[in-house]
Amino acid sequence: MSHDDMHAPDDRPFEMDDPVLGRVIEELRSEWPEPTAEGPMRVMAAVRREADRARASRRRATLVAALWRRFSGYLSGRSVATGGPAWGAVAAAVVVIVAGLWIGWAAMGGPVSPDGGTGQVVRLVLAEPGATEVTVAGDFSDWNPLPLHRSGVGSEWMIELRLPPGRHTYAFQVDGQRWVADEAAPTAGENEFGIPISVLLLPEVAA
Amino acid sequence: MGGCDRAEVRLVVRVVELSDAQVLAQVRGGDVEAYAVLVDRYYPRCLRFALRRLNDGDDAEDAVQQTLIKAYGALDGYREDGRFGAWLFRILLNECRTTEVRRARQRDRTIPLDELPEVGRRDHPPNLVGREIRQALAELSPLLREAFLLRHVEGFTYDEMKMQTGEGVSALKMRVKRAADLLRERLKEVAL
Repeated sequence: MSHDDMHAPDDRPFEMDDPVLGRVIEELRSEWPEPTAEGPMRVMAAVRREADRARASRRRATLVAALWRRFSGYLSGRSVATGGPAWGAVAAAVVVIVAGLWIGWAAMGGPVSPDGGTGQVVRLVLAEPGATEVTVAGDFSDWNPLPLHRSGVGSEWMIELRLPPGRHTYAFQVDGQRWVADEAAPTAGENEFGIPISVLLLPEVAA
Repeated sequence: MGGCDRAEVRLVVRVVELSDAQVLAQVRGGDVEAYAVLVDRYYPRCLRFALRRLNDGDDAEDAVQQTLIKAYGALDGYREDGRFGAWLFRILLNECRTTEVRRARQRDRTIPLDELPEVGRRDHPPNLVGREIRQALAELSPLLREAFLLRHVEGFTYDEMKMQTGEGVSALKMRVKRAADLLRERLKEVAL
């Protein structure tokens, strides 16, 4: 079904009634840019890197799972043989959890300081259950995206920023597609680009 | 054997273009190189929109490349309950909006007439009337321009535009009508 089939009676294509707009649409539709040779090549190079990264990640996950099965099976087997509880499996689980937390904390790093290190530490949190990537952009980053990390609590994503006193505007972006406001912050409506703006007011800190 | 007639063999080659769904099935099956079919298929169309949305060739190329890269990473989220192109343009819209926000903080956004990017046309070389039309389009606010392009140049339905922008259908119709009214007013004196 072509898009023209979707026209309601009060939504007929302009070109049927309006010669000026019909000409405009004809002109704009006739444009067909030739991409640079490098453009599609850059896209495919990035896609191949992403595919390689995903394959490597799956291999690591498979290896970790196999090691875990072997390790816990060994320790559980020894506990059964002695008639005691599976303390070995419990100890292995504790080691894995601690290692995971350590790796996660190392990945998060400390607060991000977009302005070079001064100001107060602010934590921004967004709950997005199905997201695979969440970023925040604002005047403090010249609207360049800064990545959030999973906070380990349910579906929450989090970033810590060191920001100077004053008024800051920002918005979250989910999976590189959808802009969302911070429900915990005052909003300033949508800007001229259709992005919902949240506002953060940081007071001066007494010396 | 001498009595056998030589059979006439006629080789018929039929080129069948794979649908988006068929290509996506190959990509999801592990054939990364199949994604190049979608890149080649959608790059010019995305670039056409981005050029008119952003009025800058370099920014438009960057936005399109980022869109196609992000789309590959987000394929798990594409449910195939709508057209792939409509879903792809949702990502492109957000890339264009992000680019505009960044750019607005960096430099003056007024694009002089002679700096609007020229775009190749299928049948004719660029012309003065075309430049007037592109200038009139560039003078629209970003959201009006975006709505007009999506509806009347890219041919998306209002339901698809709703998915792409997150706006209600009524608001989108208002923007398209407002854009059309402004273009009509602006170009009524031009010999089209």
